[in-house]
Amino acid sequence: MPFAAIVRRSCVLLALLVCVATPLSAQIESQLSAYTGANATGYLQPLANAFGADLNCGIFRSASIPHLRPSLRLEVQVMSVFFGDDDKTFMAVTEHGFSPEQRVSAPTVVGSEKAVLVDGDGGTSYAFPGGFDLHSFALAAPQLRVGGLFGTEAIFRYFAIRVAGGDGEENKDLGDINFFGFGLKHDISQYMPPGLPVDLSAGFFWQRLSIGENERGGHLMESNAFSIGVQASKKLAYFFVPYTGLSYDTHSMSVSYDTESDGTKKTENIDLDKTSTLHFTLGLMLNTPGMNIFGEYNIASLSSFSFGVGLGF
Amino acid sequence: MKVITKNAALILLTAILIAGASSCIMEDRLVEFVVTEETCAPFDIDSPLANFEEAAVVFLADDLNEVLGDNDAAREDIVTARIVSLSYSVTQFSHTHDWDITGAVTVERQDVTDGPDTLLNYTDQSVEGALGVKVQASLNEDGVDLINRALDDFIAGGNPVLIFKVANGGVNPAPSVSDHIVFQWEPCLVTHIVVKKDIEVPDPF
Repeated sequence: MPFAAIVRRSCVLLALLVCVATPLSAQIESQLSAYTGANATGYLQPLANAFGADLNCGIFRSASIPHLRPSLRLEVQVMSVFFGDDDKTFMAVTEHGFSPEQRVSAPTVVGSEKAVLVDGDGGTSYAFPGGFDLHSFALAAPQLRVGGLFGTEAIFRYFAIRVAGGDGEENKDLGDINFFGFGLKHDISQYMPPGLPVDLSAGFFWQRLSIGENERGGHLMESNAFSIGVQASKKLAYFFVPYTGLSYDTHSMSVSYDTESDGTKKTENIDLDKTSTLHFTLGLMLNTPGMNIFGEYNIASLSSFSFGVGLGF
Repeated sequence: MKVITKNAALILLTAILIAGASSCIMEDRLVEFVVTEETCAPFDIDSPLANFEEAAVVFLADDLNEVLGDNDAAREDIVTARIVSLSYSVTQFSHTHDWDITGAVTVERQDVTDGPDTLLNYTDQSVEGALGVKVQASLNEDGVDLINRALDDFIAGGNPVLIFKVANGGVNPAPSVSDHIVFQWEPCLVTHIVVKKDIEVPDPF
């Protein structure tokens, strides 16, 4: 394997550990350049929804927090959603003065790879770009938990990497990732009457993720997520900890890309629909001293799952 | 011993995750992209007569090769290419009074015998009213078909060259030797080129 290919694969793998979406971002910009306004929003909305669902899962887990004992745990987790048939198409409208104006079912970013063509007046035709035929969309994130002071735990997610600047065009296309999240979780069992069968906690978490680079040096996509909720867990025999949670999540996403779709080069800024959803979590953690492994399923407007491993005390 | 076992399990799990990531997260897709090309043919009009003619040559193959290069695509990647629309605008006009013009724009091939065919007709078009404005034209099927044939020839390996001609038939008020009609205008064709690209996308589950 040529050295350049090894370097490229290494970069891709590194990116995968934090955000498998990054290689997609440059290709998405190419597809978006055919679209403006409402078409761009419709094309990207399923991906924005997936970002929100992924970011807002795998955060809280066990409700048990030490009251006055230092704890530190580094975790790596994968969060993913599956796309349904409804996510695959949107109603697109012809642009560029095409006559007559037509509304057709066209692929979204996760839809069919095939372009859709419609015929117009005088032998003209209009083409809507294909999607990337994605069945799932996953993010991976490192997460650090620091506790326990008066039953409070701080949670951080952070990663920053620039995969651009290589000799090859494909390396350049990977763009950059900036990811930061912060939240707090507090043990509320301590305020309850003794004898509760489960541990209870409440917490919030805020995140910002920016990916890729447009031709003007700005971020191609920027995503903000916020979650606030309550959790319950119960430590059982053999280190098994089933847990559940109910939260209220919000997510917003903006995209800034370059287009020449109307003949003049300009930057198109798109604010995708902000989503808000109730979010119910069911999960199981194997929590041994020094290490834990977990898996969870999240029911929300777009359901997701998450799994990962943590190391610490 | 317990610590060693736990660490070994962790390393094994991480290795499985990474191995899985490298082999099955990225999937190949043959995605159809749409490249939008705008081809313009500028005309300089300076005439004492109402029935003036002006021609502009467009090297279509050169324009298409350039836009394909900008999008990391080649001629062999093209699935189809078709005319989307045509607009025209006046780019320079400095008369003290306006003119209304009536006529047609025709298109023909320079590299092979094809055409001329009428691409569009304009009737009582205010020159001043089109200054800096994109006026969408109603296209004639014969002219569009000729350009679509040229696009098909390009995909097949040809190098089509188009000649656009303005054949103006009427001007109101009528120009004269002492009052030439002088302006620059530019019809612009929008073409959609569908190209297929083999790319890797993340689709892990």
